[in-house]
Amino acid sequence: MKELLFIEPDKIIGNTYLRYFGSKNYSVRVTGSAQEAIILADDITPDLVIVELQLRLHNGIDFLYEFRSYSDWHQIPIIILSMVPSNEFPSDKNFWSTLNIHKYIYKPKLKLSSLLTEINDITLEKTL
Amino acid sequence: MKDNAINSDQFLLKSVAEELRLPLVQISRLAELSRSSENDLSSDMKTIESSADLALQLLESYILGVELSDNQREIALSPITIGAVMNDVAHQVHKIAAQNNCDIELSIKTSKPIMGNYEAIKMAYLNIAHSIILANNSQVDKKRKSIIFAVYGKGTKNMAGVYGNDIQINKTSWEKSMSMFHKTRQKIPEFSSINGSGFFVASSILESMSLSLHPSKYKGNKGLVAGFPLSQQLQLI
Repeated sequence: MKELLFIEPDKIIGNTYLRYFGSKNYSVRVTGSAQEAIILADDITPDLVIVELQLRLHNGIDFLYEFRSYSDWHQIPIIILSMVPSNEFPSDKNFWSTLNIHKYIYKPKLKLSSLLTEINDITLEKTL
Repeated sequence: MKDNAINSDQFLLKSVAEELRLPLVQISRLAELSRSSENDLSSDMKTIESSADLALQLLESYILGVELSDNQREIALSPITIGAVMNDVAHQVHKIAAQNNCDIELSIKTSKPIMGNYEAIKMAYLNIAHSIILANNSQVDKKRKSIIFAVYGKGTKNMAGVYGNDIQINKTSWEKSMSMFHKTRQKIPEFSSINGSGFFVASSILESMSLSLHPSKYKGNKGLVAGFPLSQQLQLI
């Protein structure tokens, strides 16, 4: 079973991920803390990390830099799923490619079913 | 001067709009989940109702704040006790607090009357309470949360504050939040993913009554308080 690690500060939204993707044959972990996410990632080695950038006490970008600083996790795909529109960041593609971000998705515009398609594609790609 | 005022209004509107995205995304996701699930949906329906109620509350408060500051609505004053307002607010947030595993405590130490607008003060404190409960709603800490509604006398004022056992706000962070209001999306980083619009809307309502919110501590809990001047005439009655 593929492991998904969501870093989502809102309990209600986090719970929908847990229930929806849990019912789609994924093992799902949800945490609102960047620090706990690092510990969980060390524990489960996720197949995909999905991260919100607005976190309590932490900046999601700091988390991304820390996550990528561990050589074992360089190739773990990351999706940013955030309330922050991507146009608030530099349009320079290198900004995200240095962090090896698979995709940036604006949260209000994405349905769970569309996110499932994205996740299926990425985890399948990883298997092949 | 006028430009600054316009910018301030625009930023508050933008901030409220941004904050409203959260309950709307919650509702949208829960509705989608409910469609694809065969489980009992009554719990999801309750959460949807709460999210919608919170969104409406923020909108109504924002509108009230704008109308008061633009003098579109008159502030009718009458003799009230702040304890009664806080009691009312505590009852109104009871359901949302319970859903977020947050206990409520009321600590009313004075019942001296003041002249004020009951509904406007209630609206301001509802926003503060909701923001504190939602800040406590983060997934970071699993400990039991509590919120305290306190009213106590201090000199010639009745102080009314809302405090949380997991709120890290202090003088520095509050001043920083106020000064960063125009510049940043996540205005109070200590408060999870919410942007703190509820505090700023509450602040604008209270300011229209010449009152100001400031951080304080009560029984070791941190929160926000405002001082309501006692009416000398009412003291004589």
